[in-house]
Amino acid sequence: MILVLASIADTHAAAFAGELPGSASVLTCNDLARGPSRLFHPNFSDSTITAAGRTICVREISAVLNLLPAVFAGELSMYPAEERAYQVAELRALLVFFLSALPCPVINRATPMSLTGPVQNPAAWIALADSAGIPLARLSAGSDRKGLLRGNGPSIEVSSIGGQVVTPSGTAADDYTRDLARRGNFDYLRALYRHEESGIRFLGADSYPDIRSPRNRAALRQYLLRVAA
Amino acid sequence: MILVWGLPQDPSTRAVSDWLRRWNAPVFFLNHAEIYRTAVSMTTQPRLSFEVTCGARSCRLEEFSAAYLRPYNYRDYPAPETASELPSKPAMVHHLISAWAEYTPALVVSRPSAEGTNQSKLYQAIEIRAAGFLTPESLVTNDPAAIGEFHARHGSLIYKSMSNVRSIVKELAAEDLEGKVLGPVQFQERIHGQNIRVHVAGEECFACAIETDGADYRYADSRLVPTSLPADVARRAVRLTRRLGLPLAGLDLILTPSGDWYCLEANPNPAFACFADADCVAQAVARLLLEARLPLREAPALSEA
Repeated sequence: MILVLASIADTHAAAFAGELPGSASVLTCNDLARGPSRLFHPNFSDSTITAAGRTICVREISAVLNLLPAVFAGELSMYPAEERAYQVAELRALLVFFLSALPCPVINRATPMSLTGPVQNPAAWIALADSAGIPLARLSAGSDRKGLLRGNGPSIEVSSIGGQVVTPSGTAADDYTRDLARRGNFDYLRALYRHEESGIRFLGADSYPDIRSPRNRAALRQYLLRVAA
Repeated sequence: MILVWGLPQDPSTRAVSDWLRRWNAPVFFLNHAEIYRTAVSMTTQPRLSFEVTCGARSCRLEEFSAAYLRPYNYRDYPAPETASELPSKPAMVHHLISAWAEYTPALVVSRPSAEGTNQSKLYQAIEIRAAGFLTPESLVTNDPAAIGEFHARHGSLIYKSMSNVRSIVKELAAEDLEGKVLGPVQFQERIHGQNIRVHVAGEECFACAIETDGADYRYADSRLVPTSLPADVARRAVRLTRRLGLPLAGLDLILTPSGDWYCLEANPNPAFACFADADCVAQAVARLLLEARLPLREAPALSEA
């Protein structure tokens, strides 16, 4: 079974799960909070969860597509309002454990830093790319202003799934994206670059699987089916 | 140059800073309570560089060979009364310093990713077992029948947060569950034995036995006595600390009457100052920070400190 972990409001996720042949199910925080679940440590393989009303043994899960960037307090309406911030932290901790303990492929595996992987914020992507030796675009950020200043101009977007570039640009950006995915241990990665006078330069990245792009969607579907087989 | 980011009145921060001062180490102390006066900027040209300014003092983060980071929750400090007095946004200060700290080649005690490992206690439990310690059997459930079965199997259970929020351990009593709407809760078999706190700094271990009757020694009457660890247990403690990517950790161990060693959790930024051997831990941390400078500049002979 392929699990698609997503927000209850993510209609794209539900549609994507519906497109996967065989059994696939969407798992939401609402399922984890309300549906009976039994997660064991160290005997994790005996664990069960409930997704969309169905009890699933974790041994049945063959792959996970993680489309949940965060646990949203608004989805935890079953708790009193004053309890929700605490329950957000608890469910986040549960998900980090659950996604780490599963032996099957998880795209992308959560870390204690973030549910979408090891990088927390745009400045950290810049520092990661720099540590990988990828040339950086002209960028600046400061605590006295909002966000990252990166100027204008068209960007080049490259996505990598399972170590393969699925939207090649035919430039050095393809190799940079592969390097970055390897260094950060990302199954899915989307990186942005700009062509500056000195060459292709890194602008930013994210590791939240983009299923709205038809090309990425098809590549993710193919990859999931392959690794889940 | 060594960066220390924390509160001057925090005993652990002060203890490490005191040792660094005693060794005349060049230290840039960034007072976390002054976060509303602290500004951080990042530029990528001509190379990636971060600049920190606090009042009239400023420095470039890439000049540091080591850092000891013990920031607190800035929301605990009073903010300036008017927005115009705010030179920076504290959350951005944290983001930018964290971005540097995660990927710098400098020694960081501790990097944000390593520091984050106790945000999920069961994630840590996987690493603890991989390092060779036993961990208590745990169940996360919202199913009363499952709790009943687990309780019957283990006799006595404790329950505690899965995250590092409100992390207080309690022993389960039947009435605790009555009339409650349960979300997923973490239950653990209660392990009885000798509580031992171990601080690992690099390769060094400092152990302290804790005499207590409480389920959570932090909130019960307890007595701390320095002790030593068997060599193989010390090796496991160092291995675990390395697996978690931590140069410094506070491990909560239990030695059972049958001689088994359990590790309950690893504190990635321990407040070690209240334990026996606190001064030795502070000295070991300061030495780690100082030795990170060796490739850049000759360090003083530590034995003369």
